[in-house]
Amino acid sequence: MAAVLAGHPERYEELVARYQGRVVNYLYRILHSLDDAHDLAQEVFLRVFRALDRYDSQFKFSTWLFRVAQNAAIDSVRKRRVHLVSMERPESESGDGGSFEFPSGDRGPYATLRNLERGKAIGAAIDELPGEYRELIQLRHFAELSYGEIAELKGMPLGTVKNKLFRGRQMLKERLADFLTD
Amino acid sequence: MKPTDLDLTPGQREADDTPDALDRLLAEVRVPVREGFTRQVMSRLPESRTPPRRVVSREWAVAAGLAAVLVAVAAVLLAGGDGTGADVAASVVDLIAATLAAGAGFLAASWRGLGETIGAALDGSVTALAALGLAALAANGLLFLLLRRRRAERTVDKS
Repeated sequence: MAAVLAGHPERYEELVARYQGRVVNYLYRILHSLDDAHDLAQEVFLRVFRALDRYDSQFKFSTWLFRVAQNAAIDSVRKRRVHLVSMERPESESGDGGSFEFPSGDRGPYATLRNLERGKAIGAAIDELPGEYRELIQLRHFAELSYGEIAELKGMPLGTVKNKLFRGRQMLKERLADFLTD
Repeated sequence: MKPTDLDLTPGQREADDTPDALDRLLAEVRVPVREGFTRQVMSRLPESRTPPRRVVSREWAVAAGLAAVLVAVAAVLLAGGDGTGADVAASVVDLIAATLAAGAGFLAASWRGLGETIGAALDGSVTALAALGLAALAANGLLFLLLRRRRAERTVDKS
């Protein structure tokens, strides 16, 4: 980040490479479409780049990046009706419509079906969480932010973030109990 | 009994920090990023890239340097002259007053000239009057559009 601000915009590529997975996964959990998540992630990185001269270095870059991503996702959800199919890979991408959630080496038909079901169940369990818990779970497990970063982003006390995440994870564990005992 | 937000023990929080089966399960549902994503982002970056802060700070340094030179010159003039500080201050006030008066005079003259020009152009013609009205509306519309665009840009920047 310091290198980009010091006049080396080509170094922005390293930032994109470092955060792309987290941004795409975070947006995917909100938009439920891999294509839309990639498109919006591109837009987020462009917005951030355009606003680099206004970046306040007292905040962490990741916090700023995910605040932009969160606002972009909210705008996107408001603008269009989201297609709520969370686990299926769009036909246009693979042609086979299979799941990308569990890319394990186990390719047997039973394993594939089981993985697909697990992926769907996990996605549904997250979506069914109350909004305040779902949001924090998404930030923690898909944006991979630390508790401190989430507290900064949400403007919440650290203790509140920890407590809400604890509660959210408990709810998820109850909903996903069958899969957790495998 | 389910824990509430307020009755978590430090032990529970600590246990929640350590990776467990739920973490592994959630990690498994992460999606892969499309190949070439970084390249696509970099190819879409604007041509006129954001000026790096070094350039901005250099501009400020030049301005600060010029201000320092002006202060130094003022100090030399004040120290070397025969007049007192009060005389210098009075002179500065006179200079500002004269500048304002001249500016106001130019402004009045400009408006008077503009009025006369428009009066001569209209010359009682209805067509010319209608054209002037249309031009005024267009100018207002342009101003409105520019203001809206600035507001939209600010909204995007805030996000």
